[in-house]
Amino acid sequence: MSPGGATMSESTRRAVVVLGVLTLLGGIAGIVYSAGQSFTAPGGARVGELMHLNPLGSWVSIGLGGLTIVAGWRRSITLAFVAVAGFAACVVAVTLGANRDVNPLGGTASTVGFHLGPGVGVLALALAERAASRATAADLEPRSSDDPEHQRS
Amino acid sequence: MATSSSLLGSPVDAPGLEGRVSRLGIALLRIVVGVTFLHEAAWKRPPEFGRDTGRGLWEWSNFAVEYPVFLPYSWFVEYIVQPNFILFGWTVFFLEAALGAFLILGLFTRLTAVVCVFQSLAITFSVLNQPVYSEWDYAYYLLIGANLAIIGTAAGRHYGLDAALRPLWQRSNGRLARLLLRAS
Repeated sequence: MSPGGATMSESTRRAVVVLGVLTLLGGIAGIVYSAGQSFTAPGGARVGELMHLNPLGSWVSIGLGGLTIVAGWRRSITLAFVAVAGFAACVVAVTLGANRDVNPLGGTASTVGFHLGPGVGVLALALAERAASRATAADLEPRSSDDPEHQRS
Repeated sequence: MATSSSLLGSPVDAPGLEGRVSRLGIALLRIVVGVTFLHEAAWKRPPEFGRDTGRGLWEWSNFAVEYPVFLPYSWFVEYIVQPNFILFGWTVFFLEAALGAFLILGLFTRLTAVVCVFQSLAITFSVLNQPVYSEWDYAYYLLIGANLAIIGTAAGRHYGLDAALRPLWQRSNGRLARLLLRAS
């Protein structure tokens, strides 16, 4: 069970899965473009026209994409928050490493965007779903003025 | 009015565009503009952002001072940006990464596109008169126009995350949810 008892609606589940698939595809493209690079090359390969990733950054993206897909598939808000933490860790790692000798994921500012977008997207979906569930639950609870027990006291 | 469910949410909440071709077209425009910003973020290189070599972001922002387009902006760059250039560099680093990613995904789209208009104006005021690189002026006007179209059509509600988020924000009672509804 997720925190607060909230699970994902169908549209949220679909959106989370799409974000996971996009991240997964970016990671797979990274594997293709960074073939031949050392695993943690600080200057990652240019992936299409979008971003830079080395093999480690590509595999991490594949893992995060897979985790996000599972979170959506199982409608698990808890797993979605775990994925958000992973995306945040990638943003921090690339920010600290960009254009430096030690750049474990081989990323640039574009790579920050590649992880920031799905991270903020999944976070927004999970928080909005939880807030909407709470609002619905609050609407369903009887008001104190309608509660005969409350009126007697 | 189209009532069929799209991949991400329902198009019913997105007035003004009828038909799948129109909605796909504006979504494609949003994604292309997002890719442009994400692509351009890559050459903002920390930690000096070109201040040590006279290249990169330092060179391009300095064009606003050397070859002024709009004098108040040139003054702003000379007396506010350049003395705080590293802070400016990091701001651009995160801003362009976020703008690109959010436009591609259709997240907080109207707010993102408003910021893109200002960012595009800042770039235009920096480079329009510089003679060093061959630039196509109309690219900047197109970028501004494309972002205005994205704002006007609420493009994130067409095959974007805003389409999935707006029904949830509408069910919430919070002030943040109401603000995000306006931002999308």
